[in-house]
Amino acid sequence: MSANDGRGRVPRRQCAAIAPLLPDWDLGRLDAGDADRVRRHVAQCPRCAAEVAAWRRFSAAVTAHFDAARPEVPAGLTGRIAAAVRAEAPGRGSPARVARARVAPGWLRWLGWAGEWAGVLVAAAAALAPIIIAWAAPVTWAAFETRLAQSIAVLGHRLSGILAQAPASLAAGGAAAGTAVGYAWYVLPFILWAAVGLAISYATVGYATGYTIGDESGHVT
Amino acid sequence: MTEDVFLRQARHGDAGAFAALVQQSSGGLYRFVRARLRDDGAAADAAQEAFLRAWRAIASFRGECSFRSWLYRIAQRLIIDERTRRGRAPVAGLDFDEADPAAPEPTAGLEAEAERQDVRAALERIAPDERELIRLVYYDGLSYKEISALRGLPLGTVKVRLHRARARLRVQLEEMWEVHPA
Repeated sequence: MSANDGRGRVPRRQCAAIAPLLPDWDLGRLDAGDADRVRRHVAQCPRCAAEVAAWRRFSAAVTAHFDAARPEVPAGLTGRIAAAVRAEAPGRGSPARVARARVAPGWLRWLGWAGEWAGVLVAAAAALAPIIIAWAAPVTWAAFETRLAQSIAVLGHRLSGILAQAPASLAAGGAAAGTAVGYAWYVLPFILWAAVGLAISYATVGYATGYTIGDESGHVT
Repeated sequence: MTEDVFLRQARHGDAGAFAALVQQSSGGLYRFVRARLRDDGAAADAAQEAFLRAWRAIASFRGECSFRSWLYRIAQRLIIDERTRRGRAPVAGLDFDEADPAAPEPTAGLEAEAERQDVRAALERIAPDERELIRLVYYDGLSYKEISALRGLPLGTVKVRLHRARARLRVQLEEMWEVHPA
């Protein structure tokens, strides 16, 4: 589209839209689209071409002023700062600590992973065991509930002998308080067990290596 | 290697990569601070402290703005603290006297020096905020996006204010050029 009004003049409203862009165009700070729009306009518009010349003089004067005021950087400053960065005492979570963590032995991280997931899997298996046992026999819904209560009572009794932290109610839960409440009582220690295991695993292995266990990239979160 | 690579490595704790960022940015940062504190020793100390703070916090840098804006924002806080400590008004405020007695001696001719004096006088006639915007562009060489991040202003606001500041400064300057034609 031509910028001319047909008599060789550029309409002023086009100049008004272009004018704010002129100093940035002269400094090369416009994106390609705007720069091209300004370039085409200025090529046809003597008024804006004169404005560009005025802005150029302005920018040259201001730049020269600031160039003259720009101080020398003290010799050795960069080296001094770099040395201070390297000497920075590593604190937990600081980049220097992460750097150390990157060379932590891989076996320790894998041990953390294995311990963490073994605990979760055992807890999940124990929690699901009564359901699986009850489901295994061909039963009606009522018979399933009865069998589930029995399984909870038997498994709970056996596991409470193994797990010191299991509450006394675990063994009698299913039979005494109905299947749903009994199952909740039965499963609660395993959830707690898995959660405490995860927390201990995070705290110990994560602290030793600087890694959060679940993060293979080595980022400290 | 590019700044992005250095940044990624630095975020993983690579002090060497961060030292490369120091190498790239220390001159500009020193000048940024020096112009606003007008004291060589204090500027060097503040520049070092800004880099150390950046290093300690580099893991939290998410690249939402350029590293330079982030670093300068840390330095800006140190400048404000230092100026407050000295009992000078904090920001409007980040501006510095144009007539810096410690500025390098002019080496060009009389005409160039006269023009610089005109610019200095014109800068003193505009508002401190406008002067600071002019300085961030022509002295510090920051992009508008960087200024937006540094000052916490929307990009459009930065452009409008800068346009206004430039227009006012040009009016002042052209008045002086009429009095002292080149």
